[in-house]
Amino acid sequence: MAEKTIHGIAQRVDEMRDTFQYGKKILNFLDELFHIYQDIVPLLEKINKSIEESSSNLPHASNELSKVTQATEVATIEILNTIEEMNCIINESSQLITKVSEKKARRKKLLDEVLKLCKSLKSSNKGKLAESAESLVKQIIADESEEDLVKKVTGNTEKLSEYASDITISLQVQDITAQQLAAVNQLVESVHNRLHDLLQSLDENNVAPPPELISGKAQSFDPDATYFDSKNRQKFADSVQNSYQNESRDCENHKVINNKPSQEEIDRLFNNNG
Amino acid sequence: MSNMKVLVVDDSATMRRIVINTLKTIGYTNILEAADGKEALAHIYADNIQLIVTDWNMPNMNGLELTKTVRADDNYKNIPILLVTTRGVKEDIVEALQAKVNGYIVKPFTPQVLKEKIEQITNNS
Repeated sequence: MAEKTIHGIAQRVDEMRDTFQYGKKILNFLDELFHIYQDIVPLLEKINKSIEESSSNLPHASNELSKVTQATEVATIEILNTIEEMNCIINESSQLITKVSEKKARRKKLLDEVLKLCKSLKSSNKGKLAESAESLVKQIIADESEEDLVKKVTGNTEKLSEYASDITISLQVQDITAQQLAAVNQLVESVHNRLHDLLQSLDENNVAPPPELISGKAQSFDPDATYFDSKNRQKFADSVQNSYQNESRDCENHKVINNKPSQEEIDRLFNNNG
Repeated sequence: MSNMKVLVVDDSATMRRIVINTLKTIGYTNILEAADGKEALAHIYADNIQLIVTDWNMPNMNGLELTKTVRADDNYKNIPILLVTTRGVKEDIVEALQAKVNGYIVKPFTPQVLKEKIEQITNNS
């Protein structure tokens, strides 16, 4: 009996020793865990601060993008104002050139009259004088230099007008880039909101509501807006429109044909009425 | 020169200016402008507009909503509408045609294209 009791005590002592050894292992593990936690906490604080900083910088980035759009819009309108003034001058010059041409035509008419007069005077005693006058008038009429100048100036004003028009077309790039920037701004806004949500999940109490970004204002844009290849894109749009209209016309014709009553239906109608 | 009263609708001040300048160079002088569909409707109801040149993407009321509103109103449904937009994929073009725009121009456009389209839609209407 005593032997059994001693054996039981020895077993308990073994168990206790095992438990102590296990506890020692756990203690080491907890100690390591505590050290890791000590390392992680400042790291998490750093991440938190970094997210906070990034998040607070995003409205600034968004504002800067909006400022770019505003600045380019102002500059573009200034250029367009200048182009409009240029166009006014070009139009005025064209009108002046037309007036010069009209004056020249009137002068030619008058010179023709003088020529006729010279011819009639040739047989008179002032014949010699008339001949010289006729020759001078003919020289004036034959002088094409003025005509060439008018043509050149007309050509130049037409070219200027074309260039002004080309610049106007190119300035459409402002609207297109404004739409692209608006798309970027929307992305910035969504990143900003995500970061704010993340901060809130890390620290529910200390996160202020996100400031409204400029892109949050009512605006609508095409995120795929592009400046390039407009000629082909217009051709494509025209072809889609043509085929759509042809299909619609075919559909309408089909409806008209199907709506025509058959001879049988007409006969039935007359028989019923008769 | 054309005396036709044209309404230019675009939320971009630059684009309104460009369309107006282009219209002037091709002979249109009687031009009004609006920054979105809602502003455009006010002009349509008050100013006897004969042609609308509108953008698609606009706040408050876009160009397609404007077209649908105009087409649904018996008093104004026959006003020709020209859509000027950056959107150039087939689905968009078909959607615009289904809303009953008369013409479709892809930005950036040339004065020649604008002139041709206006002639086309004003002759057909």
